[in-house]
Amino acid sequence: MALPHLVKYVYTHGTDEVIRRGKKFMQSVLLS
Amino acid sequence: MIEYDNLFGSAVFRVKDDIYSTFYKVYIQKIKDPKSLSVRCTCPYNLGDICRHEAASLFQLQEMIDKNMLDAGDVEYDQRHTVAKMKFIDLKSLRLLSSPVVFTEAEKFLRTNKANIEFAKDETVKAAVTLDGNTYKVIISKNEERNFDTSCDYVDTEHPLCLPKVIVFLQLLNSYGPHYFDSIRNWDKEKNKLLEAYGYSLNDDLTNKFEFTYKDGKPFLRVLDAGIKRVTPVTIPARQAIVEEPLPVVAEEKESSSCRHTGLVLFSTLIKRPTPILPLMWYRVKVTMTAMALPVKWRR
Repeated sequence: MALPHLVKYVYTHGTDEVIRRGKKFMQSVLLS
Repeated sequence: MIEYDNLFGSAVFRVKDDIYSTFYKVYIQKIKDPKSLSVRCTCPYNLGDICRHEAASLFQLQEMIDKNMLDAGDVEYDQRHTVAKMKFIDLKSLRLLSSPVVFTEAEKFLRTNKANIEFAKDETVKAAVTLDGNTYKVIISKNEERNFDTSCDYVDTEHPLCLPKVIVFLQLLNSYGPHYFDSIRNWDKEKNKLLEAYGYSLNDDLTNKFEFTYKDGKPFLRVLDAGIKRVTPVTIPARQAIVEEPLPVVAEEKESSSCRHTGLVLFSTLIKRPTPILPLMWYRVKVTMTAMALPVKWRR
């Protein structure tokens, strides 16, 4: 199954560090 | 997420930084179109295409879509009342709020026909549009949020603006410009306020006495009769009198009255907020006392 396009966008444009921290961010830091 | 617009396919996230206690805003546009998706963050990161705040927001948005948390489902519009979220008649918004097909049909209609404008006053337009022998009534008016409330008896559940509404909007835009509704606003209250200064109101005969001119859509009063003078005192001189009052330092009598005045303020403020005001007031009193003790040549 293909990745959803928003996630694909992150993987295409983000550096490894940005992707890692973005995921961590989403799970831990409060997004309001 | 602080904003989400399903129609425009845009979202705004407020993201707290994971290192610093700073909040950044992430703007995501064209969510539904993978080819023209655009993401922007207010953080200063410039070492790559996207920052961690943008990544986090996109992950979060995808999760919300997956969980069906966004009202991205099909919305049915009741043309008897729909709101067109635009502050003035804007072509781009009209296209978005209808559809390319509806918009083209409206343009086609206006090449050979016209909507019949029956009423145009107080930021409200009532019109009748005849399509295929059927006449549809359209009412458009500005609401408190300065958007447009629209109503029509035409059936279109797919778009906020149906064909007759688009026809009326387009006709008004082509004939009078995007700010037409501002020009038919009722300014009576503001006009009466302007006339009040001269002892007149809109109920009086203003012929050859006054004239209203409009600048940026707002009314300005022009006095035509030179014999008419203001009857209400202008507030500016009164303010100037307070500002231009000489500082009560030179004469000792004035000093004492000044001190009395200070004491009164101290008393009234002490009741409500004793602690933060007290040092300030003591300081003022102290300065006044010092000024009194200084030789006259040092006093200004």
